Amino acid sequence: MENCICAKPGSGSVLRECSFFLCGRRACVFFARSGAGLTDASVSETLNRQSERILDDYGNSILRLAYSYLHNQSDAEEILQDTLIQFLKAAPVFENETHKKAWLLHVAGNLSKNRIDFNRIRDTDELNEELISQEQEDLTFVWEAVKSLPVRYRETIHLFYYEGCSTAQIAEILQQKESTVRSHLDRGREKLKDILKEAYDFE
Amino acid sequence: MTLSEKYDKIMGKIEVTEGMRRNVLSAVQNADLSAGSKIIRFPNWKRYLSAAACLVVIVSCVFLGFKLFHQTGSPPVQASGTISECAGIDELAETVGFPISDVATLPFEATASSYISFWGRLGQIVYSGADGQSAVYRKSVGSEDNSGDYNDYSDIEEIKEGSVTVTLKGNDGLYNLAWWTDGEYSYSLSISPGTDISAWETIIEGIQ
Repeated sequence: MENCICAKPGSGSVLRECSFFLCGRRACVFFARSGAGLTDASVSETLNRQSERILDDYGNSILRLAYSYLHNQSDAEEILQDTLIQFLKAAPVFENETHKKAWLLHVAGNLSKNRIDFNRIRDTDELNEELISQEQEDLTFVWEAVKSLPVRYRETIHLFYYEGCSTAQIAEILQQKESTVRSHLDRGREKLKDILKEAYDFE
Repeated sequence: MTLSEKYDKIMGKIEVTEGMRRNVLSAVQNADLSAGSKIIRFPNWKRYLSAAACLVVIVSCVFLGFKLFHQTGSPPVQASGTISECAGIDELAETVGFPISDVATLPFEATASSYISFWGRLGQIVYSGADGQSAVYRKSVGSEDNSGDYNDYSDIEEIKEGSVTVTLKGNDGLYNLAWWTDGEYSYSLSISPGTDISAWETIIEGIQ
């Protein structure tokens, strides 16, 4: 943000000089509204570049987390979109990339959980259909087992095993105590073992 | 392939496609990004339900308060008795009013012991060993579990010792707790570190 304020308004290179991270949407909106000389096109270009960067770096992680909650491609895509919008609206400043990712996953998780309550209508699970059509029975079996877990266990399992987050990071993302996360992880694993009849082991 | 690898493979099938990318970017461009506060209104039924719940709580409090205020008769009496430390096994037996003996077959040599009477109904002896071992022996009238040990143990076994069935609880084949009753008295012995079943058989045989 400091970079933006120090730059000369009206200069065509203002936005290029801004770090994407430090120059949030609020600053851009401020300059645009205050007639500081930024054109709609340059604001739009900045937003686009920020969005593209998030999509490149974290798009898949957000989409997969959303899918793990909602089991539906359209819903997951909307969560990805809403997370991006929240990011641009809030224009948060982070200490490092880990915090940035944690923030995005936290928002995506919350939006997904809200949607679970709001929307119980869609039953289409494209991933399951794809696995079945490809006759990947073992993967179908695993996916069905993970899907059947309660949300609190499923989200922990996903973040721990897929995203490789530590229990402390999961606690930060889900806003839970670390002991709760550990307990959910253990119980989730136990339940999976029960369902899969110890056919597989998490390692 | 581990379950974790399978899950990775499953998740690998979900990715941001070019079409999805275009849709998302287009939606972001068209979104209203002004940082206005979002007002979320409670649905009416939730509002009424909340009000009704508050009313029920208030009415209940008033009713209970009225009952308590006008309550007659004698006030509740706390059970008499105290927790008292005794000088030795004889004093403990005298205080609780039933025979109780030291445990002579502990798996370690006790370097210290203490004798406590709980409310004159339960006798407890705590033994400590030189290397941090400890044992807590309890005896009380009745047939309820008197161990006071509410830990979750993965291993639970029952063994027969004479005419009684002893329940052993522990983890990984080592048992920390034994509880049994002869119908008249309830007994429990908790030992740390845990020990195996054969050692427990010797210990309990000594108590019986």
